[in-house]
Amino acid sequence: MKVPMCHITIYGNKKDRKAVLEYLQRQQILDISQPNPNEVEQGFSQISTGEAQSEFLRQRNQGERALAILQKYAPESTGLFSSLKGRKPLSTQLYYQFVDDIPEMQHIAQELISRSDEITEKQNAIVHCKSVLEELQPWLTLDVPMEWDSTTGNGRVKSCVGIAGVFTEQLSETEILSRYDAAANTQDGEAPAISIEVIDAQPQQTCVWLVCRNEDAAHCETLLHSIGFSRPKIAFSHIPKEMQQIQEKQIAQLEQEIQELEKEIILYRGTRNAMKFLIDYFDMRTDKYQVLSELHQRNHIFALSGYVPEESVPDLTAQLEHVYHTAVEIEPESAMEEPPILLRNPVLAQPVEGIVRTFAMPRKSEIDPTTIMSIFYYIFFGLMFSDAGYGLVMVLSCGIALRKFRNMEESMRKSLKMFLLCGISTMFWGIMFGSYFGDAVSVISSTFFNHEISIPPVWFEPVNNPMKMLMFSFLFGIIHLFTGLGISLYQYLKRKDYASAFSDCICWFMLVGGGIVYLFHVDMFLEMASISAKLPTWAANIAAVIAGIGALGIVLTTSRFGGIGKRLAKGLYSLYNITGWLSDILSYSRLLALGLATGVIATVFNKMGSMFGGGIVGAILFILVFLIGHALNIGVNLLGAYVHTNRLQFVEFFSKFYEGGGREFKPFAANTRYYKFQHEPSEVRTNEN
Amino acid sequence: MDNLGIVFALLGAAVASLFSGIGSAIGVGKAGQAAAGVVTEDPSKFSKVLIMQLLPGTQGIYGLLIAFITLSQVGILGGDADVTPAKGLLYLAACLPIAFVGLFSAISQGKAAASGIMMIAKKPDQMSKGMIFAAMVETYAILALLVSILAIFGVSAL
Repeated sequence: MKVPMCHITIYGNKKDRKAVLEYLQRQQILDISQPNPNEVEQGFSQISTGEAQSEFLRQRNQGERALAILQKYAPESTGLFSSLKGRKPLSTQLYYQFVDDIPEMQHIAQELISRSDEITEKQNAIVHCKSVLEELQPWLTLDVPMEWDSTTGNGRVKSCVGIAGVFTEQLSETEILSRYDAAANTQDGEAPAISIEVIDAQPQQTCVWLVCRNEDAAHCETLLHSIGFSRPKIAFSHIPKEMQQIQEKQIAQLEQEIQELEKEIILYRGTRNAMKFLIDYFDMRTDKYQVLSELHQRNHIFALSGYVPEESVPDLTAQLEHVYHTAVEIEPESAMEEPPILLRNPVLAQPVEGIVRTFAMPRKSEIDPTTIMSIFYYIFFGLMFSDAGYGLVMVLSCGIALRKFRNMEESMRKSLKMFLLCGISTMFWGIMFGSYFGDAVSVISSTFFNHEISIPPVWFEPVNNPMKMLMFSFLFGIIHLFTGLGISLYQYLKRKDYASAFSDCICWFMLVGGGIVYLFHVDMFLEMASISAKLPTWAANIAAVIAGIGALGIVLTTSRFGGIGKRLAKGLYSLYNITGWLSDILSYSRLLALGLATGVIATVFNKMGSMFGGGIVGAILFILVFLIGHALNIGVNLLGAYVHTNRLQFVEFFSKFYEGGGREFKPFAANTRYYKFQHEPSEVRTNEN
Repeated sequence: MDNLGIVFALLGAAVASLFSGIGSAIGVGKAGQAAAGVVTEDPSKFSKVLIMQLLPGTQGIYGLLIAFITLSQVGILGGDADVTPAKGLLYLAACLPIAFVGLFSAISQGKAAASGIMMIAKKPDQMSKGMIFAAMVETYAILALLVSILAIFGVSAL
């Protein structure tokens, strides 16, 4: 059912606006829908809160970064079932305690971030040192500084200068010297005397150290350049060996500093919850300010409008009028607008609301299909999974999870409840078809106890009689489809669209229904379905006539506009839709196929397990194969049953009557990630901004 | 030559598991590549994309199912394997629908699942729609499975 909505407008004193908003945020019952900006009432205006919002966002991101840093250096251990635990509830008292600590939290967040930045800086420094070490590698045998001339020399070689350099190929001393002389000859000059020492020669690079006279240095270097000489990228006033030690020491020191910083960060691990609160707090404030910017404000008053579920209106207005002294204007749902949709169904149907929501929320003119759908949902799921053992596993695991994690999120609780109910249906059909972990009972009894016991099915075994099961699958399908068509009829009648009700529903009922009844007179069909009773001819004729009237009705009445020819053409075209009905009904054969798949695969695993024979070793291996095999089978077929049950609802059922497209009821609330804030707002500190 | 029937039947079982298995392997592989891409960006989507990746895997299981039913019907898995050549050929024919439809539908479903995984990357809340798109393809594998099952049971009743 859809919950009836009221449209309310709240007028209040401007100074109370934040308190009112905070109250509404905690109550979570108002879906704010302000009129368009161009429909703002005379004299009202909106304020911009963009600046404050971006500041909040900055603070929030700071918290987020700090949390990520904590997570990196002191990871939080999350259990296997952490997704079931839900958000931690936070009482109002604790909330305000946390709020008082916010400056402290922000300080901690900044500390964490600055430490993390420092670590990054130091890591970059280490990378730099390592690259220097790498470049130093070929020079390590050089026992003088790479930058060396008479001023840095020890005084004895005042007239000489030493130059370190590289060639980009592998050369020997004599090769370099001969090239050097050749270069000098081409310039018709005399080659200044030099002494060359190859420090390191690699295929790609030769490192040399050469010495020449001070006054020749410039000339020497020009000559050398012409034969491919260049100065190295690095040059130090230290001896390379010394430089290496310096760099290594620096790396060690940096690493130690990083370790210390990491230790300091780890010391902050107790503040993880504070960081989470910080994120939630600023998220909430951003939301609140977003609404604040939408408020219509005037000198001393503000106006806020939105939708509230009808049943909550008295409480809400009482509270607002007495505590916050606001005026509340209430209008019932008007015919013109599309109110937001909130679904509320009986306890057993409620869990499948999520399935409807993933398809689409109903529009105002449509009924909420959840309750009717839920019956088919559970039945079809059970038929496709159809094993008492697997059903029991589902019921137990969902039941235990629901009992154990009482604080889980509402959507998760609904899903688990849905699977619990599907599990019950699975058990039911498993008992009907005599499947308990496939044929585990008879396999175990005959392998290990030499005495076969089997549990007979209450109804019949689909494996032994697939044709019968196929016929029943189609029967379930026809019931499902006709229910959908019936809902469509109801909706047309409610809208008083009698013509459409006749052409789109009643005619189809007659055509498809008559056609199906007539099939029971066709020998071929009866033989295929192995049905012995045959419909008497007079009844078959009546069915055929009804189907004929239906077909005629569809052709003549579907299109009610335009000329006769056009109307007939359109009518014939919609009669073509009979193929759609055929494929819809055949689609339900998946009930049989998936049911058989579950049962037969289970049988395969039982057989594999029993291949090792009896005895203790056989029993151990059997248990192993049994556990792994059935876990696998449950996993795959659970997924299959879920997906294909959804498909039968979405494609076959909904296409008969349901379009959807309504807006979901999304109340202004604290959309937090880590904490669940409890109700009852504090009236003491209402002027919190 | 007396045992030619069992040869045909075994060939049918082999073909059923072979082709649908190959199809599923390709389909799951395609979806897996897309899934890995999404998880590099956001590891928290692992469980969602894993479910999507599994969808094209069912064809292989259907093939296994048909292969197993055939094997047990002709008595290769215990019992006396006594099948006439004509019946063996009938078993072989019965295995063909799931073999071929399994092969091609699993590959196509893999593509649909990969696109669904891309959708999850951008809109994780729309996951069930992505699943439906991929499940649409599987319909035809289910129909083929059904034909194969009915045919095998029909043949063994002959």
